[in-house]
Amino acid sequence: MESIRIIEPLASRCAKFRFKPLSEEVMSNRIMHICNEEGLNLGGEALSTLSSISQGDLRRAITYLQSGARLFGSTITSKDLLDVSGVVPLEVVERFFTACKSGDFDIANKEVDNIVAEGYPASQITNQLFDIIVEAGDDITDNQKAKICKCLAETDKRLVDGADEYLQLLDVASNTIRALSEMAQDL
Amino acid sequence: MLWVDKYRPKSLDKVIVHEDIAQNLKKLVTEQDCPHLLFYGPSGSGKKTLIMALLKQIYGASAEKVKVENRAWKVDAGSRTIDLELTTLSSTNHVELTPSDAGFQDRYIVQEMIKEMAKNRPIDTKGKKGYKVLVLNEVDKLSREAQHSLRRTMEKYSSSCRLILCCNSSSKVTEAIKSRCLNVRINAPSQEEIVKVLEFVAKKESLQLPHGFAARIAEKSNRSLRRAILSLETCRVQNYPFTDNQAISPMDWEEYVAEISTDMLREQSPKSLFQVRGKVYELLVNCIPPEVLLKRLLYELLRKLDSELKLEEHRMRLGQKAIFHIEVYEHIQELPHLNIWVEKRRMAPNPGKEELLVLQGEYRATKVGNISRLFNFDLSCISALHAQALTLAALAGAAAVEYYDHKTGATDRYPKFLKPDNLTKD
Repeated sequence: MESIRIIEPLASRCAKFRFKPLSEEVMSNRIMHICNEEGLNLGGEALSTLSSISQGDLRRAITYLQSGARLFGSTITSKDLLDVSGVVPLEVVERFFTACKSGDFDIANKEVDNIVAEGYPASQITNQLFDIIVEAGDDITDNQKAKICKCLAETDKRLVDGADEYLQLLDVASNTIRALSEMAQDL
Repeated sequence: MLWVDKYRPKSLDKVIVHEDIAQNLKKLVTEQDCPHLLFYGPSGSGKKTLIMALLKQIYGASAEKVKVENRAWKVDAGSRTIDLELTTLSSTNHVELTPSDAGFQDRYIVQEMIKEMAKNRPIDTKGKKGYKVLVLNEVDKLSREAQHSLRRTMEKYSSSCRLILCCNSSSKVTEAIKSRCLNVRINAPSQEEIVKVLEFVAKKESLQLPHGFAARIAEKSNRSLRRAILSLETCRVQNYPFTDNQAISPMDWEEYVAEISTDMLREQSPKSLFQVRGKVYELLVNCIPPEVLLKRLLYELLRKLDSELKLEEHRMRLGQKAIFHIEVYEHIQELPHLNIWVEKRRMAPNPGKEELLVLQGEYRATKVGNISRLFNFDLSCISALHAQALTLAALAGAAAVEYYDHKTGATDRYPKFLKPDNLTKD
C-alpha cells in the first residue's frame, strides 16, 4: 500500500505503477453500469452519497451497493446507503462536539458513554470530528484547531495500536475542552 | 441453566431488542446467498445471539447441533512445521472459532482453517446453499498479519465459504476487511429495552418484578443485557419476593477496585503504593483484564474526586491515556507498577516535572524488557534498534536518578534543562 515501505534495492529493480483513488466520474460510471446489469434503481443523490462515503474505494462502493440492494430492494435511497455503510450520523458527532464546547466535563463524559454504548467506532468518530473541526467557523481560532487536531492525530495512532475506545474518546473530549477553553496544555 | 442462556432468542423472529436488525438479516439470507458479515458492538449487546439466530435461519435446526472439538493442525511453514491447537465449535454447516487464542500464530489458523473448510465444500442435491459459514470471534484481537491473510482467503474462497466476523471495536479491524464485509452495528440496548427483557424473563419464570427494581437493575447494568439478566438471577437467589429497594450487589472485583481508588486518594506514600500494587496484582492474577481494570479505576476516581479537582483531572486523564496506550502492548507484569505510578503522580498535590521524567523513563525501561515482543514500535522515538537501546538505557538511568532525588527531597536538576515535551519527540 505504501511504496515507502519497500526497501530501496527492491524498489530500484522494479517498474513502478502508481494507482490513485478513482475519480468520482469513473466510479459513477462503473456503479451505473452495475445498476443497469442488476436492474437497480439508484437516484442521483444516492449516487453522490455513495461516492462520498466510499472515498474513492470502488470495492467498498460496490459492497455497500450490494448490501443495500439485498436489504432494501431494488430502489436504493441515500439513507439506505448510509445505514449499511456504518458512517456515524452527523448529529452524533455534532452532539459530541457541542458537549465539548460546553466546557463541562460531565456532559462530555456522558456523551462518550453514549457513543460507546451505541457501538459507533471511535476511529470513525475521530475522522468525522476532524472534518467538523477543520470546517468550523470563526468561533474557533486556528491555534485551537491545531491543538485539537494534534490530539486527534495521537488518538488515531493509539487506536490503530489497539488502545481502548472509551478512554481514547474521553481523551479527545478532555483535550478538546481544554483547547476550547484555552487551558494550559502541558504534560 | 442460567437465564442468560435459557432465554436467549433462538430465531430471528423471536428477538426482542434488535428487531429491525433481525428483520434485515432475515431478508439478507432469504436469497440463498449472503455477503461476508462483520458484527460489531459493545459486549452484552447481542452480537452472538444474532449470529446464532442467523445461522439457524440459514441452515435450520441442524445449526444448533454443535460439537466442541479440540483440533490440532500441523502447518508447514517453509523449513519447519508448526503445531497448533485450537478449540472449535462446529455443526455440519458452520465452524466457530476464536483465532486470536493462538496468539501470534493466529494467521496460520486463519489460513489453514479456511483452506480446509473450502476443500470440503458441502454438496446439496438442489445445488443450493453451497457454502459453509465460518464464524470468527474477537477479530479485533487478531494480529495485523492475520488480518491481511484473512482478506486474501476471503476473496479466494468466496464461492464456497462465508465469513461472519464478530468484534467489539471495529476500529481495530483493518479497512481492507471492513470494505469486504457488510458491517452490522449492534448497539447496546437502552435501559427501557433492558427493562422490557427483564420483565419478559420474570414473566416466563412467573416472578413478581416491581418496575422500580427492574429499572434499577437496568441502570446498574451499564447497558449490558447479559449483565442485567445475570444480576436479576443473582437477586432472585438472594432475596425473593423482590422489593423495590432491594440491594443489587456489585461484582466483587468492582468493589475491590473501589477500595483501591479510596486507598490511592487517602495516602500517597511509598507504603500505600506498595499496598495498592499488591491489590492490583491480586486482580490481575484473578484474570481481570487490565483494560477493564483501568477503565473501572478511572470511573471510580472520577466519581470520588470533587468537582474543583476536575480541571486538574484533565491532566490526569491525559496521563492515563498515554499509559493505557503503553499498557495495551506492554508486558502485563510491568503494568500495575506503571499504572500506579501514574496514579500517584497525579494524585500528588503538585506534580513536579521530575516525576514525569521518572514516568517516561520507566515507560521506556519497560520497553527494553520487551524488545523481543515489541511489535508496537513507537515510531516517533524509534527508528533503529541499537540507537533505541542506548536511548533507553540513558533514560532509565536518568529516571532512576530523578526518582531518588525526588524521594530524598533533593532539588530537581533536570527540569531546568529538559522539558518533558522534548522527551516525547525525540
